[in-house]
Amino acid sequence: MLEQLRKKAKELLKNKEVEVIIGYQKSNNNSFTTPCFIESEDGVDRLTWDEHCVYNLSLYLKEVKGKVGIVAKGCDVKSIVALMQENQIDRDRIKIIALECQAQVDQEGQILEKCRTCQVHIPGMYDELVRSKTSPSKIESKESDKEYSVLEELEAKSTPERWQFWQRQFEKCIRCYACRQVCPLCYCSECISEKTAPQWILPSPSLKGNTTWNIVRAFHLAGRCIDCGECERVCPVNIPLRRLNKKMEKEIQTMFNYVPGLDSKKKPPLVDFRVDDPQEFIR
Amino acid sequence: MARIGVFVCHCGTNISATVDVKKVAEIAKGFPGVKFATDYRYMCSEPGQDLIQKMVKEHNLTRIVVAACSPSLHEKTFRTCTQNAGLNPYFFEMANIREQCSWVHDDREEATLKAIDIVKLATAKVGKNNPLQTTFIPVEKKVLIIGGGISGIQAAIDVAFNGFKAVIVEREPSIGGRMAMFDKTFPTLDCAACILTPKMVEVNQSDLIKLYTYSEVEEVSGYVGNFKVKIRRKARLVDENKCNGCGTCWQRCPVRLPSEFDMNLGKRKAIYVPFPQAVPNVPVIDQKHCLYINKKKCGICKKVCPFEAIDYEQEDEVIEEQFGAIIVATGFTMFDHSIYGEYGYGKYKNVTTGLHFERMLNSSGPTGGKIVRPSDGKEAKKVVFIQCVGSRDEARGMPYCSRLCCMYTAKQALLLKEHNPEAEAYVFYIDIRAAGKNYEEFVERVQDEYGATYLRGRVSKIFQRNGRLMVRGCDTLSGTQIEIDADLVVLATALIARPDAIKLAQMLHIPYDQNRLFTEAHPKLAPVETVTTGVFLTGACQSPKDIPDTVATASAASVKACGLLSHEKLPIDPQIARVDVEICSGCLACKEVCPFGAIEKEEIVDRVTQQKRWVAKVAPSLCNGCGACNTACRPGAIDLDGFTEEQIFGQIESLTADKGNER
Repeated sequence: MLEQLRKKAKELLKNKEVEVIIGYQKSNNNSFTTPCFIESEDGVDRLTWDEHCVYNLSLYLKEVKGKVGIVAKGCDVKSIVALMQENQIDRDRIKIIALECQAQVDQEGQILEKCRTCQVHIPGMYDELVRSKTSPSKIESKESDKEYSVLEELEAKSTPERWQFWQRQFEKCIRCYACRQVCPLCYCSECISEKTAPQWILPSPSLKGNTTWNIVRAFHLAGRCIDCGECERVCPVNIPLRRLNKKMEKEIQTMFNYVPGLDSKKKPPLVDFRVDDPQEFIR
Repeated sequence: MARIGVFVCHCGTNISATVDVKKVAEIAKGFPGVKFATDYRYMCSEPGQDLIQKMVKEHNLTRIVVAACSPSLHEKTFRTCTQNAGLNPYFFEMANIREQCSWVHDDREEATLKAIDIVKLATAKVGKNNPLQTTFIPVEKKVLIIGGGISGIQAAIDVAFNGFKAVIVEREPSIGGRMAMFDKTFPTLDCAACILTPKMVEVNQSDLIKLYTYSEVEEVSGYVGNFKVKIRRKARLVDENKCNGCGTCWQRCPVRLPSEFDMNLGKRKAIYVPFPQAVPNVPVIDQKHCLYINKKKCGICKKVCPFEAIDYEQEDEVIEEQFGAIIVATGFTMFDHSIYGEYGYGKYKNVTTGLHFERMLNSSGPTGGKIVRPSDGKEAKKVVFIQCVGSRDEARGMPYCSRLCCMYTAKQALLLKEHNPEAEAYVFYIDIRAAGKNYEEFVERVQDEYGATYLRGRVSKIFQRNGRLMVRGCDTLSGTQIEIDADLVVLATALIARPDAIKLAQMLHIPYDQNRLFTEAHPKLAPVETVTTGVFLTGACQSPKDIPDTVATASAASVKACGLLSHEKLPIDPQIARVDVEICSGCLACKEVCPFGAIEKEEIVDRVTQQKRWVAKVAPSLCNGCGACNTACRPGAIDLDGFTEEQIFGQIESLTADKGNER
């Protein structure tokens, strides 16, 4: 796969179809890769591909100008779709080198939670596709690996218990905004958390401000989050943010039968309206 | 610091009976920034307004709060009054303590407390009000009229009479619409063509009216005063400038097809004008059936045309024009009765509709004015008319009354008798609805003088026996079952909205009801306006209308349109959305949720990066200040002037300040 990836990247650069390729390169730590930006043909040997390519590189698409190639897994392509829907990137200037991905692992070698229920081992949109030679599904699917099974424990709790759970979590928040910085869909140049007139969110890391911040972020991602799980990965105090976003995803899917990141032609339900909307939820 | 004056209105006893207005004024004196507060019997009266102006001078007030009725009633009054007092008109807030308080509560004490809170909210808001300036937009002095039936024709004539330009866009090859198909009109029995064609000619001859027939509106953007409209001019394959309508082409065309204008009872050619008085008198080529277009054979029309007007290569053309106002006159279509099993599912040839009958009555129609059975062309002597087919039938048809069927059925029964005094006319009806000048008298005449038999009841079944139609129904007045062997059955099918009405409504951003009929801005007080400023309604696209009502609404709509056009510039409410492009990330969620199409995307150069990027831009004349964009904007780049986040926060804080508020 790696050879093919490098070959395709080289071709794109050689034919001047792209000016830069965003990909993964090895780090000095074997359980880790880091993003890299390759601008010349001889640089393509730096590209790597294995189960440690966790990053969602679409994060850089908005910042890197000109014609750009991007190495992308299925989940990363979902965020590219979402960015296209929201008018943030121009598909014409982007070449997607999609990789068939079985699963990614964390630093302990454990398969990531999101990969257990992954539906897009082969990305849904691409210009070049690099297929895997090995047959798929090295992950044994378990009964507990249903799409929303991670929510079961929390959903079983009573509302006060759940509130208490999240209060405990938000108490830990240090407002470092790593979740926001790593999120491909938190692209606003000025975040609502930075607004001062009026000030919507208390900026200091107090429980009230933290609660407002995390809930506002979850709401702002409702119907948009494509579940790359990056926010939870980078959170230095281990707030289980993926559960928050996954719950919103489930609600949106139940109500509007919509899953973000799959179809760039579809309108996200929260920015759509229909005259014949039954509006059952407000009755 | 703002110096606020609070004026509490008694509204006679409307407010003061339930709210202790003196106490409200007294407590208001203690609110932050309030320098003066009083109560008065009628604030909207002249002395009431004088009081405001006097107190502004006396106490150096800079902000005004009037606690009275709904802003929809007197906001304008007090804005003007504030302005007359020398202040910006938007330094005024209205506290609604009538509709939202005194009228809906009984408990005087509680209602007074609520009124105090309502006034508190208004004072907190008014302190943060910004001065707003009314802006103006220029007006394109031309009206677009969509539809060239009697409605659009009358509107165009009236617009031109007022000295403005009008453009009629008509989908069919000729203007004239449904009325051109009718024989005579109730209740006076004028010949429809005789009263319509002079108007068609007037439209054609006017220098101020332009006709785009065989054309359709494809896209509408812009706003009142400056609508930009794309119009598709379908290829006629005949050069309008060269053709003089001599008719040689259609006389020689070998292809014979059913004529839509004659409800398929007669024939037309593949190159045709729909009817002899067509305006413009220029044929079109039916591309689906023309031999030359489909098989590269024939080509006779081109050979015989003395003016070389035939152009097989002609293509659709999309033109763009600007208009100051739009009048929608798209009319109606007929309900399809084939869903009714009792009337034979549309399978019996001799079960026809009012429009078919209308064409048969017409002496220039397909039967030369003879009433015949479509099955064999023999004269029809016994005719059964059935009313309310698809109307007043919530289950299978339309819930509403189509309003004209009673009248045209009576007229058709009368004309049948005039054509053949021996003929028999039976009319099945539910109720006779003949509200209109001389309408009731007309129906009476049809029954008494012309001897049409009216039967109150429904038809349960139509079936065939020995080549004749058997109509089985009941006469509920005599309580008897009736069976009539009829030559012909005429169904008064409902008038319904055109199938593509929704598409047009969305293009124009005007609402429609559950029956796809366009909705007026107010059913009583704004019957030809829509909520989209500058778009007006006339005729049956709004609800079934007869010719007099259609003409009346056409004239009304054109007066409204001309009223707009008579201004050099139009004022726009400054209480609209505003985008901070520094914060806007260009996701355009606002554009998606805007019900008025008021947001477009604009490319700017970023102040910091010097790179180009997209942001949202509000078209001030389209924005109605609803605030939908405001809530959709994640970074808070959109604010609504007159209802800014600061103002709303100020209000919330005023109520929660003493309750341990923390964000």
